[in-house]
Formats: sequence, C-alpha cells, structure tokens
Amino acid sequence: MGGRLSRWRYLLLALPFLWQLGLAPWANGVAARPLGIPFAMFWQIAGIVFASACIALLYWMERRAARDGADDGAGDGEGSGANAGMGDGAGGR
Amino acid sequence: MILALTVAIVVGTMLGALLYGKRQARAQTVTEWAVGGRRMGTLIFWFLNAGEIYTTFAVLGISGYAWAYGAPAYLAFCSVSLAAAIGYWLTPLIWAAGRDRGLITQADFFDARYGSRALSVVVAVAGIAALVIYVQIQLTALSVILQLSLGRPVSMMTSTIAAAAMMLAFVFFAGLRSAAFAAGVKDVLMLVIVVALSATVADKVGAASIIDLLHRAEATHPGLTSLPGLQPEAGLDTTWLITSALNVALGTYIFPHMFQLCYAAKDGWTIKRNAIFQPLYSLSFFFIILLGFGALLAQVQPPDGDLNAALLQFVADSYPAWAVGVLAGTACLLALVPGSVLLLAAGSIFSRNVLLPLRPAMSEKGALVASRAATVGFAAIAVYLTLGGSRSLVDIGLMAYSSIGMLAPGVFLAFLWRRTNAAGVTAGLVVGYAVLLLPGLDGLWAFFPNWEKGLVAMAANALTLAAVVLATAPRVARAAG
Repeated sequence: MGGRLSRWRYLLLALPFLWQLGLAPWANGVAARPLGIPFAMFWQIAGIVFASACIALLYWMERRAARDGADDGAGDGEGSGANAGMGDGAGGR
Repeated sequence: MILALTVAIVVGTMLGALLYGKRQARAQTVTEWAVGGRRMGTLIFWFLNAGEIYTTFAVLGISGYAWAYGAPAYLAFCSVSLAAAIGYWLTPLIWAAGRDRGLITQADFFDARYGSRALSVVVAVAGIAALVIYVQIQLTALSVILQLSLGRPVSMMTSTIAAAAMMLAFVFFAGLRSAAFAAGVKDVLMLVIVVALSATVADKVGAASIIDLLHRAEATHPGLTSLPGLQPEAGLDTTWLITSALNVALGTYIFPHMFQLCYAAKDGWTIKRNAIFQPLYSLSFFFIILLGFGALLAQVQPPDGDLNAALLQFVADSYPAWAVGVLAGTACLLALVPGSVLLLAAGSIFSRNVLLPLRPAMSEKGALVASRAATVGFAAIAVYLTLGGSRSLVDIGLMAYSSIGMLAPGVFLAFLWRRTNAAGVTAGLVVGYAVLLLPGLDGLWAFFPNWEKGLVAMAANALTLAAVVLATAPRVARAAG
C-alpha cells in the first residue's frame, strides 16, 4: 500500500502531539475563557476532538487507497510491513 | 441500602457476563481464554479497549487529582488521544504479527522477532511485574470502595483480600469475552452516573451552573485551573505534563494485556477504526475533573485525606444513599473488570513464556491450569503491595507506565529498524531499569527537573539499544518494498 500513499501521511498522527503537548505551555498562560471554561482545560478538550479528526482523516485516506487497489488484501492494514519485519528477525536466528 | 445496591450491580453484571461468555464459546484452550479466539469485531473490541482505559485510575484517580492538585488532572485529556494516535500505527502491526505467527502473549512477540528465548523470558517477567503494579491500582481502589460501602470500619487488610478474591472469581469463571461484556456494562453505567452527577453537582455545591462552579472553584482556590495547580511545590508543571503524557502514550499499548488485546481483533481495520473513536471517550474526563472541583468546593474531607476517596466521599456527603450504592457498585466493576483482564494476561504469560520453556511437554490443558494457578499467586503479590502503602492511584499508575515503558524501545524498533537485535534490546533493558530503579542518581535527575523519570529511563534504554545494535548487528541491505 506504500506505493499509493506516502509515508508522510503518518505526520497526521504527530499533529495531536503538537496540539496537546507542544502547545501546552502556551495554552497554560492564556487568560481567555471560551464558553466559560479555563483556557488550558478547553485547549486539551479541543485537542481530543482534533486527535480524533486527524486519525479519522488518515483512516479515510487508507481505506480509499485500499479500495482502489483490489489486490491489496483489504483488512490487512499494514500487515505486509509487519510480516517483513518479523521475517527479518527470524532470519537472524 | 448502599451495600445491597453495590452487591446487586456487581453480581448482576457478573452473571450476565458469564451467560454471555458461555453462549459464545467454552474456553478450552489458552487461545480462546486469552485472546478470545482472535475474532473480536469492532464494537466488542472497542468496549474491551476502552474498558482498559476507563478504570478506577481514570475515575477515582483523576477526580482525586483534580481535588488535590487541580490542573495536573488535565493529564487525563492527553493520555487517551495520544495513545490512540500511536496505536493507530502500532497496533495493526502487532495484530498482523500475532496472526502470522500464532502469537498469544507479548513475550511470544519478542521471541518471534528477536529469536531469543532468554530475552522473551526476561520480557515476560518484566511484563508481569508491570501488570502486578497495575493490579495494585485496582485493589487499592476496590478496598477504598468496599470500606465505604460496608459503612463500618473494615480493616484495609480485610477489604483488600476480599477485593482480590472477587477479582480472582471473575477471572476463573470468565474469559476475555465475558470481560468484554462486563466492560460494556460498566462503561454504560459509569457514563450515566458521571452525566447524572455532573448535571446535579452545581446545585449541590451552591453554584448556578457548571460554568459557575468552575468560576467559584477558581475564585476560592487561586491557581486551580492552570499548571502547576494548587501545590506548586509538587512540581506538577507543564514539563511534568508533557513528559508524563508522552510516557503514558508510548507505554499504553506496550502493557502486555493491551498488546495481547491487539491479537484478539478480527482484522486490522477493526483496530484502526477503534483508534478513531477511542479519544472521544476521554471527553468524559471533563465531567470527572468537574466532580473533583465540586468536591473541593464542598470542602470534602475524605478519611485520612486519601485523595483516592475524594469522589466517593463527596457523593456520600451530598447525595442520597441509593446514588452512593450505584456509584460504589459501578466503581467496583471499574476495578474488577480491568483487574481480571490484567490477571488473565499475567497468568497466560507465566504459563507460556516462563513455565513452558522449562517444561516443553506441558499439554494445552495443563497450560490452562498452570495459567490459572499463577493468577492466584500474582493476585497475592498485588495484595501484599497494596497493603504496603497507600498512595495516589495516579502516582501508582505512572509508576506502572514507567515500568512497562522499558519494553517500549524493543517493540517500536522491532517495526522501525530492521537491524534491532536481541543484544541491543537486552542491553537497553538493563540500562533502562538501572536508571529507573537505582538510588543515588540525584546528579542525573538534576538535569531533568520535573521530568517524568520513566521517560528519561526510556530514552536511556533506547540510546543504549541503538549503540549496541550499531556495534553488533551487521548492516543489512534494505529489502525492496
């Protein structure tokens, strides 16, 4: 499946870290209170929804790519990559 | 009244779980008992996964943290979503490895990937140790609940042993499928309770609304809602939040029971779909933290200032007896269900990866018996640890994550770096545990003020691993694809 989707797609999984941890020191100092909720708390709650959205987008991209390539063994996800890694280890015995 | 409701909820759910498990399949083999025959669909897999996240650590621990410290409880908001982001990539790889090699435990994985029996035994023991610490969380919580719902002074010893006995009963009569059913029941009950309590909490503490409650809590306790919270001297600042959250996110799927859970899924997409919805579950932590702040406004005085009991004491003080009974019963399930899954995993790891290499002639039936006997032993160790000292559930939890984090480099690099070998993983483990456990490293910790120690130890582990691999493993040509 690596042929159709770039490895860079995994950057989507890094975005939640940027939001919830990278920007946490900044969010901690903001005085605004959206909906009356302290900002640091609001930021983390929004971060949860953001994380779900990032993962959903990635899932959607992968599902679409898997559907396009019929021979890709839908349902395996990243299975092929794992097999390669496992086989390699066993070969080193 | 309280006791009757507590018992009714626990017994009712257990019976339902047993009937459900029986209807599905009789556990005759370790595969069926421990990984549910590898055919868990999306919904059941979600409940099992979430069930492991939604434990007493989350509900009693986080509300207690909010009550005692304030903003440091926001850690709960980061832990699930970031673990899901990592899990989206990691867990399908684990699932595929499990399917292709017929793996059941985490140590099986190390054995298959690194081809070292010795390493897999070390990993098995390390995994069991972390699981026992995690069982300690559930026992600590369960004994707090039992002491509250029995309504009269029960010794810590009695309540802890009773808690362990309940957990074992559940392990013996159930299996992973029954646990999934019970997890579903407890999650739905807990959600209803949390929403019901949150809807009424403002009224109970004399605030006009939830938002007003937040304002009042902040006004009466300056510094409550931003880091480092109410006790700056505790060092729970943004550095602590970031490093702790990273450590939890990296460690979540390294726990042997979570690792094992990946094998139980029907297919890779099931796991990936699960990762999308998992974070949304943690939105409910808003209400749990809110209840902690409510307890603060109500000036709750839990027995011995035990922060694990803050939420239960608040409900006992401000709500009618039936509400206390329903909460206590549900909280029992919050401890029992994950606790039994933890013991289940520890038992299967022991029989497969510690005992089997010693007695290869052991039959499948014999393995199941040994597995169950081992769970009793591990429950006893957890009881011993629980009686050893009363600490915050969150603190014990972070300790468990630090401990399991030592296996993380060996799992992540198994997929990321082909050259990773047994020598590297073993060396990493030794150095990691040394950093984590050896006293007298004050000079080192001075460089990392307020850092989560587990994360520093994990980094030391990974660096050692890399150095040893570079020195010992031959460079391999990169295979195509």
